[in-house]
Amino acid sequence: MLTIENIEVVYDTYVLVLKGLSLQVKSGAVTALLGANGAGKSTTLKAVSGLLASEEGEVTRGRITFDGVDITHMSPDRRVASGLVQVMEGRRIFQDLTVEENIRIGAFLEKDSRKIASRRELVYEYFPKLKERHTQVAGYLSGGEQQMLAIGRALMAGPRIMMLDEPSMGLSPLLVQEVCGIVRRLNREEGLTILLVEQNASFALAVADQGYVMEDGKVVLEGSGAELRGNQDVQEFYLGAGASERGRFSSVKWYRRKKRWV
Amino acid sequence: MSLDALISLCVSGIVVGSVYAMTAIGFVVIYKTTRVINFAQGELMMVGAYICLFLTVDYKLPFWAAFLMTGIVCALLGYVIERVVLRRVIGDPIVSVIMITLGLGIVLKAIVGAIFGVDVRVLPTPIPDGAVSIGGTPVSYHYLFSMAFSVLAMCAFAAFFRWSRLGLAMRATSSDQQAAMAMGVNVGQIFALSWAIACVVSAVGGMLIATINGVNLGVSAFGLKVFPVVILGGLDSIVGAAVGGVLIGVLENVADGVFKSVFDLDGFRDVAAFVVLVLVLMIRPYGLFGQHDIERI
Amino acid sequence: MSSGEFITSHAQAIRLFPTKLTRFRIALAAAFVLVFPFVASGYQLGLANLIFINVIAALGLNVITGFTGQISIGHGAFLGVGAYTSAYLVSVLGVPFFAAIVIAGLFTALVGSFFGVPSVRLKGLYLAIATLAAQFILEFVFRSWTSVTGGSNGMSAGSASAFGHELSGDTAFYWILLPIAALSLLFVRNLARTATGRALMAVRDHDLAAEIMGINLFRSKLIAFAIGSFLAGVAGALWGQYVGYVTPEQFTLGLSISLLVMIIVGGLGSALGCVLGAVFVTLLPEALSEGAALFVADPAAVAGTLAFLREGLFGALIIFVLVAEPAGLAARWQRIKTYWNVYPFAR
Repeated sequence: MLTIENIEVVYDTYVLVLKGLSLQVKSGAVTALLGANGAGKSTTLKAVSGLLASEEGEVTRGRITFDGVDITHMSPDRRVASGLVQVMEGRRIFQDLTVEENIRIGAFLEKDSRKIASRRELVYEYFPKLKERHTQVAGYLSGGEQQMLAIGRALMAGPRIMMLDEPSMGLSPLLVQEVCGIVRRLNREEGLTILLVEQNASFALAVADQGYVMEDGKVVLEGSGAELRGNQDVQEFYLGAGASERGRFSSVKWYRRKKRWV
Repeated sequence: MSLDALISLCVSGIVVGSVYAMTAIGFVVIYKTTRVINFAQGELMMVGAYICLFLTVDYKLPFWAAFLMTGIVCALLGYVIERVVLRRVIGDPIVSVIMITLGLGIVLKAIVGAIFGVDVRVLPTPIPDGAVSIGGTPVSYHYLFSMAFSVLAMCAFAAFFRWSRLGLAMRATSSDQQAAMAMGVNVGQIFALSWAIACVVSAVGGMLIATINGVNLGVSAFGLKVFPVVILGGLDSIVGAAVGGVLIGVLENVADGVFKSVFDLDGFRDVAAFVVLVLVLMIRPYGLFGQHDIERI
Repeated sequence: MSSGEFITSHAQAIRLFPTKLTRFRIALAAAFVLVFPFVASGYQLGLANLIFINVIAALGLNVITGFTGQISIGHGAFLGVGAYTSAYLVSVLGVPFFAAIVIAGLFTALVGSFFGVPSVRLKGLYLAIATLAAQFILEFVFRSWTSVTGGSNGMSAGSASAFGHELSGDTAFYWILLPIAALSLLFVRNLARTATGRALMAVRDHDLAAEIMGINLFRSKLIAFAIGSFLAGVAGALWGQYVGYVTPEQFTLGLSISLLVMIIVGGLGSALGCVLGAVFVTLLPEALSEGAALFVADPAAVAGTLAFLREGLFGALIIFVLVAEPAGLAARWQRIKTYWNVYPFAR
C-alpha cells in the first residue's frame, strides 16, 4: 500500500539523515518501525507525511509511493486528503482550542457533513473521556487524554494509513497498555492500516504484524512481529532481555559491526 | 473643562476607539498566524480610504458598491503582498521582517501620494449630516454609523474565528503550525488569507475614519495606534481588542482635552496612548491581558 | 604547503585586523579619506560629512540591535536628544564644542538607558513597541518644551569653536567628523573582542542560556542601550553643530527607520556593515534624484510627484535588498571575498 524505496533525506542542504531507507506498509496491517534515538524514525514519518519541508528537510533521492501514486514531492495537505495522516510526536494538540475544536480541525479537508458527524461519533465512542470534556480547553487535559485527543483528531481526517509517532512517549505503563489496545482495536475493527514508530519496542512488537529496525538512517533488520520478538539481537538491545554471555562490551561492538554490514 | 465637553470627548473617543479596535484585529490576525509585526497597518487603512474615494468620486459608484469593491480589491492586495513579499522572508530575523513591513508602508504611501497628492479630500457618503442627542450630548450620524459598523464587523469576525472552518484553521495554525499542516491545513494559504483579512479590516477602518475626517495621507498615522491597543487589550481575544481600542480612544481624547485646557499644549493626543503604553509595559511587561509564553532552553 | 590563513592561537583568532590583506585594504581606505577633501567638491564633501554622522549613529544602533539583539525603533529620537543637548549647551550656556559633544553623548546615554529598562523584561513585539513609544514621546518633548527647544521652530545650535578657530563649513567639519567616525568604528569593532561584547552577543543568541552562564542580563542590556545611545547622542550633537540649527523635523520616525535600514542592509552586528549601510542609505536618495533628472525635462514642475516616487523607490529597495540578501551587504562582501580566495573552486 505504502512503499518507500531507497530514500535519502537531507536537512538544511547538508545534514544527511536517511541513507537509502526502504520499507513497505501492507494494507490492513500494523507495521512497526523501531530504533534508537536519532536513528531517523521520525524523519521517515515526516518524509511520508510531507512535513519535512517545514523543517528545511528534503527527500533528495528515492521515491515514496502510496497506492502506486508517487507522493515524494506532494504537498502535505494533498497527502492528508489521500488518506495519509500522521499523529505527531509529543501529541501536539492545539492547546488553546477546545477539545471539540481540536476534533473539528481534524476533519478540515472533509466537506461532507454526514461523514464528519459519523466520524465524530466514532471518535467519541473510542474515547468517551473526550466527550465528557469536549468543551474544555485542550491544553488542560492530562497527558494520556491529550494522546487520545491526538489520535482522535487524526481519525477525523478519515485516514487510510495512520502514522503514529511515539504514542507511548511520556505515558505511564498503564496508559501505554490502553494506547496499545486502541491501536489494536482500530486495526481490527476499523481495518485501519497503521505505521507505528516506537522506542518502546515491547509495546510496538506486541501489536505489530510486520516490523523494521532502523539504525543510523537505514533499515538493519526486518521481519514479522513474531520473528522480531524472537530475534536474539532485538531481545537484547530493544526488549532488555540480558543474555549474560553477550552482554559484554566487546560483543556489543561486534554486534554493531555486524549490523553495519547488513 | 466642563462636564459636557468631557462627555463629548468621551463619545468621540469611543467612536474612534472602535475603529482602532477593528484595525487592531487586522494586526493581531497577521501577528498570530504568521508572527509578522506589521508596521504597514496604517498605510493599508490609507489605501482602503483612497480606493473608496477613487471609486466613489472618479468612478461615480454608489457609496455602498464602492465600499464593497474596496473590500474585494484590498483582499486581493493583501493576498498579493503576502505571496510576493512576506512569503520570501518567513524565518528571517524579526528586525528584517519589521523593516520589510516598514518599507511596504513607505511604498504604499509614496504610490498613493504620487497619484492623489497631499490635499485633504472629502469622502462623499449617503449618511445625513445631522446629529442625534444621546443623554443630552449630540452625536453625529457619521459617528453612529462608524461605531455601529465596526461593532458589527467585529461581531462578524468573532463569529468567523469561532465557528467557520477557515477561522478554526487559522486559530489552529497560530497555535501549532506544523500540527496544523499535519491535519491537512495548507499553511501557505492560511498566511495569505490572514493578510487578505487584515487588509480588508484595515481598509474598512480607513474608510470609516475617512467618513469622519476626510481622506489624506495622514490616515496612515492611525495605524500606529494599533500598538497601544494590542498591548492594552492583549493579543488573544477580540473582546480584548475592543476593550483596548475604546480605552485608548477615550484616553487620548480626554488627555488631549485636558492638556489643551490646562497646560495649553497641542498635540498630546498622539503621545498620550504611548505614555500609557510605556507605563503599562514597565508594570506589566506583557500587557494588561497578554500571556507570557513559557520559555525553555 | 599551506595556503590561506592558518590560525593557531586564540590571540590570532581575535586580532582586530586579521590579515595582511585586511590591513592593506584599511590603509587604502585611509589614504582615500585623507585625500578626498582635497579633490572633492563642496557638495561631495557635504555628503561625506553626512555619511560620517550616519556611520556613528548606525554603529550605536548596531550595538543595541546587531550585537545585543534588542530592537530599537526610537534611535532617531536619541539623535535628537544629543542634538538638542549640545545646541543648548553651546548656544545658551556657552560650553566649549568638544565638551558639549561629550556631555550630549552622556546625557543621551542616560535617556537611552531609561528607555532601555523595559528591554530587560520585554522581547520582540513588545520591545519594538516600547521603543516606538520612546520615539513619539521624545518627539513630543522636542515639540512642546518650547522654553528649551524652541518648539516646532527649532533652535540655533550656536557657533562652535575649537582650538581657537571658529568651526564652520564642510572642510572644517570633515576633519572633525572623520576622526570621530573612525574612532567609533574602531571602538565598536573592538567591542566584539572584549568580554562585554561577547556577553552582549550571548544575550542576543539566547538570553536565558546567557543568564545561566552567569551573564547579568539587566547589566548587559543596559550597557548596550547606554553605549548605543551614547553614540547616537554624539552623532546627533555633531549633526546639530554641523547644520547649525536643530528642529524636530530632523528626528522623526523616518530617521529611526533610515538608521535601521543602514544596519540591516549593511548587516546586523557588523561594523563594516554600518559603513556600507550608511553610504548606501545616504547616497541612495541622491542617486535617485540624479536618475530622475535624466528622465524628466523639467524636474521643478513635477517636484511633488518626484519626491513621492523617490520615497517609493527607497521603500522598494529596502524590500528588495532584504528579500534578496537578508544577511546584509557585509555578508555579500564576505561571500565575494571567499569566492576569490578559493577561486576557481567556488560555486
